Amino acid sequence: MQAAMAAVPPLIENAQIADPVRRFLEYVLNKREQGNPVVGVYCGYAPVELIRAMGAVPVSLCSASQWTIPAAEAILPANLCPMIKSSFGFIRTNACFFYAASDAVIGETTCDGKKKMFELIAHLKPTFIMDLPQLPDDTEVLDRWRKSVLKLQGFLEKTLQTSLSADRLEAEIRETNRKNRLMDRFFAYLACRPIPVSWREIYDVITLEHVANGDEFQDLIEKISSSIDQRIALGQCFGTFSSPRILVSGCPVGGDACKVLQIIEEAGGVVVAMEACSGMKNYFVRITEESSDPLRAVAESTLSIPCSCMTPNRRRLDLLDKMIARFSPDAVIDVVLHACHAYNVESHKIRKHVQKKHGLPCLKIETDYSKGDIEQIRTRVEALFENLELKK
Amino acid sequence: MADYTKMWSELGLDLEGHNALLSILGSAYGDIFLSQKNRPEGMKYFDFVMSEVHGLRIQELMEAKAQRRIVVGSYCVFVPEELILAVDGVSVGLCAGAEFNFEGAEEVLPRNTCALIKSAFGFKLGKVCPYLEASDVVVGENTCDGKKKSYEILAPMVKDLYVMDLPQMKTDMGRTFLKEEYRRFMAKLERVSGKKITPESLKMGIEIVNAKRAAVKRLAAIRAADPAPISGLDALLVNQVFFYDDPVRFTHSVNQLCDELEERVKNGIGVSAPETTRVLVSGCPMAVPNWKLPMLIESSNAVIVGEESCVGERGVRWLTESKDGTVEDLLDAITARYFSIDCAVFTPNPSRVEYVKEMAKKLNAQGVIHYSLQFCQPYIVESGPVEKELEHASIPTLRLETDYSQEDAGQLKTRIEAFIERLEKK
Repeated sequence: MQAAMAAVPPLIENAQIADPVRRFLEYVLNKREQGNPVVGVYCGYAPVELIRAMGAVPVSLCSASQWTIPAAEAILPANLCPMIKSSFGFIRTNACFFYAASDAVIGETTCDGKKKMFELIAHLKPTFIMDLPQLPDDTEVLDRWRKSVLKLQGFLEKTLQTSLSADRLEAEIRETNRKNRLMDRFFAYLACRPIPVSWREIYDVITLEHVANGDEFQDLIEKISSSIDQRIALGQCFGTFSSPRILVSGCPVGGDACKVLQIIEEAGGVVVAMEACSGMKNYFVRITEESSDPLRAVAESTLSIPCSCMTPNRRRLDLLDKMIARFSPDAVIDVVLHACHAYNVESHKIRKHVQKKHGLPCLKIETDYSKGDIEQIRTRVEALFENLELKK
Repeated sequence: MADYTKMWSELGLDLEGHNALLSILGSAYGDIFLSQKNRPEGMKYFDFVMSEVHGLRIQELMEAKAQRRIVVGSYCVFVPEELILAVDGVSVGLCAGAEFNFEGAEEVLPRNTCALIKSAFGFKLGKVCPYLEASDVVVGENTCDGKKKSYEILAPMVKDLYVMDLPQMKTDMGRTFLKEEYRRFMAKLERVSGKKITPESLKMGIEIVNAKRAAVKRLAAIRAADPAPISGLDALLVNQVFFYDDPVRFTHSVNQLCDELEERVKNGIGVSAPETTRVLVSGCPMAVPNWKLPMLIESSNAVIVGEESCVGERGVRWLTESKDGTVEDLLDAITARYFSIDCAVFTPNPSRVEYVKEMAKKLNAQGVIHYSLQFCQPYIVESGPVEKELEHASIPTLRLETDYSQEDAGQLKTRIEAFIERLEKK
C-alpha cells in the first residue's frame, strides 16, 4: 500500500514549503517583515480572532520535541508532562524561533503544570496569563471569561501599541467561521472507507489554516479536494475496506508524540479522526456572527472547547459521539501524555462511555516524547487490531 | 473504646476492613506518639480524641444529625467552616492520609495520582471512613488537576457532592469570583440545612473559628522557644485534630495545652535537649495518619518547630475580621481571609516563600524541609524556585518527594540525617 501511494501526487504541491514547520516559519518571517507583531500562544483558549484583529500574527510555540527535555529537567521535575518540559526547554535553550520572534506571549491556567511553568518564563517577555474558569456549565462563567478576554485585549493594546475595533473583530470572526467551514469539507473525506489520506496529510492540511487566509485558503482547500476526488476516482486509497479505523482522542499529539499515529498506520490501521486540540476539535467551533458583542462571541466560542481542564467535561463526550457517528471508527485510542493528570483521570470516563454507548474498544496509551516505548505501544496496538479482527 | 459496631454498620461501613484499619492505626499511634518522651500532659486530651476518632466523635455527629444539624465534609482549607457553622452545621475534614485500599482506588484512578487523592478513594471504595458516610454534603474544590477531575468520579459514589470552583490568580477578578463562589456555597448550605444565614449566626461562626485558629496560632508561637516545649509530631497532631473535633471543645483543649507549654518554657523544660537542631517543614498537607516524615525527622536528632502547610500555618495563619454588619459585609471579610491563603495552586504565588522565610526567622529554624507528595505538580514545580530563594536567603533547604508508602523510609532517613548534619555543622 505504501509503495502504491508513492506514485500518488502529494496533496500540497509547493515543494519549497512541503514541510509544515518551514511553511509556518516562512509565513511568520514574511509577516514580521511587513511590520506585523507576533503573539506566541500555547493553547486553543487564547482567542486568535482577537490577536488577528489587532493586526498581529498568532503563532503556536514549540512544545513537542524530546530534544529540549534534558535542558528543562535541570529546573523542572522530571515527572512532568513532556509538552510542558519541552516548551520550557525550547525557551531555556533559545531554540524556539517562534518564541524569539514573539512580541508578547499568552498563557492560561489550563493545568497545574503549565500554570506553574509560566511563572518561570513570565519575566522573559511581556506575558499575559488568562485565569480560565473550570466549571463550564456555570451560568456566570461566560461573563467572567469575557472579562479575561477583555483584559487580554487591554494587555495586547498596551504591549503592541495598537487598538481593537469591533469591525475588525467581527471580520476575523467571519474569517474563522469560513475557515472552519472549509476545513469541514476536508474532514468529510475522512469519513470515506477506505480513507484517501494518511495521518500525515491530515496534519498537513490542518496546519494550512495558520499560513493562509481568505480566498487563498479557500483555493488551497479546493485544490486539495480535487486531488482527493481524483485519488478516489482512481481508487488510490490508504488501507482497505477492512483496515481498522481509529479515532485518536486525548492530549495534543504533535512532534515526537506522532509516533503513536505512525505506529497505528504501520500496524495496518488508518487514522480517521483526531479529536485532540492538535487535531480537529477546534475546527468544529462556530462563532456567533453579527452579535452586538463580538468579544463575548469570541469568549463563548473558546470557552466551548471541550478540554479536560473543565469539570465536568461533558462536551467532550458529546463531541466524541458526533465524531464516532460521522467517521465510523472501529476503535478509539486515548493518548495521555505522561503526568497529564486531567486527561489521565478523565480517560476512565472516556473508556466507559465509548465502550458502553458505542460498543467500541478504547485503548489508553500513556506516553511521552521518548522513543523508549515505541515497541510496547506497537505490541498493544497490534493486539487491539487482532482483537478487532476476531470480532469481525 | 465502647462498642460502636451498630453505629458503624448503620453507616454502611465494611466492618472487617474498618477493624483492620483501626488496629493498624492504633498500633501506629502507640509506636509513634505514645513512645515519645517528656510529652506535655495536655496531649492526653488529643490521645483520647484519636482513640475515639471513629467512635465517640462519630456518635456526636450522629446525635447532631438527629437534631437536624447537617454534617459537611470537605478536603481543603478553602472551604469556609464559618459558613457551615452559620447554618448550625458540623464541619469535618475527610479521611485521606493512609495508604488504604489503593488497589481499589487504582481501578478508577491512574496509578500516578497523588496519594492523598487515592487515599480518599481508597477510604470511600473500602467503606471505612465514617466521616464521609455521615456527611450530608461533601464539598469538592477545584484546587489541583488531580482533585478536580477525581471529584467527577467521586460524585456518583457519595450522597451529595458539591463542587466549588476557585480562582487561580490573585487578581481583583479572582477575589470577586471567590466571593461569588462563597455566596453560591452559602445558598447551598441554606438549602440543605433549611436554615437561613443571618448576620448574627455568621458572626458567631466567625468568632468560633477565629478562636480555634487563634489557639493554634498561640501554640505555633510558643514553639519558638528553645528547648522546644512540644514535639513537631504532637503539634502536627493538634493541627490534624483541628479538622475533626468540636471547635469549641478543641479551642479550650489547645489553650489548656498552651498554658502548660508556657509554663514549660518559663522553666526551661522541653521535649528535646536545648540547642537540638530545629527544622521547619513546608509544602503539602499531612492528613491523619500521615506521620511518616515528621517521625523520620524527629528520630534523626532534630525537632520540628513549624509546619508551613494547610495542616498547619497555612490553615490557621489568617483570622477573619469579625465586625458588626450585614451578611454581605461579613462575606467580604471571609473572602478577604480565604483569598490570602497562599496555596501553590495560585499563579504566581510569591507570598508563600516570603512567609516561609519569616517563619524560619520567627521560630529560629535552622533549615527547611520541603515536602511534596509525589505527582502534586503545583508544589513540586514551586519547590524549585522556593529552594533557590531560601538558599539565597541562607536558609538551607532539603526537597523531598514522597507518598504514603513505607518503602522509601530508609532512603528518606539517610537524606534527612545528612541534611541535619549539614545544619549541625553551621
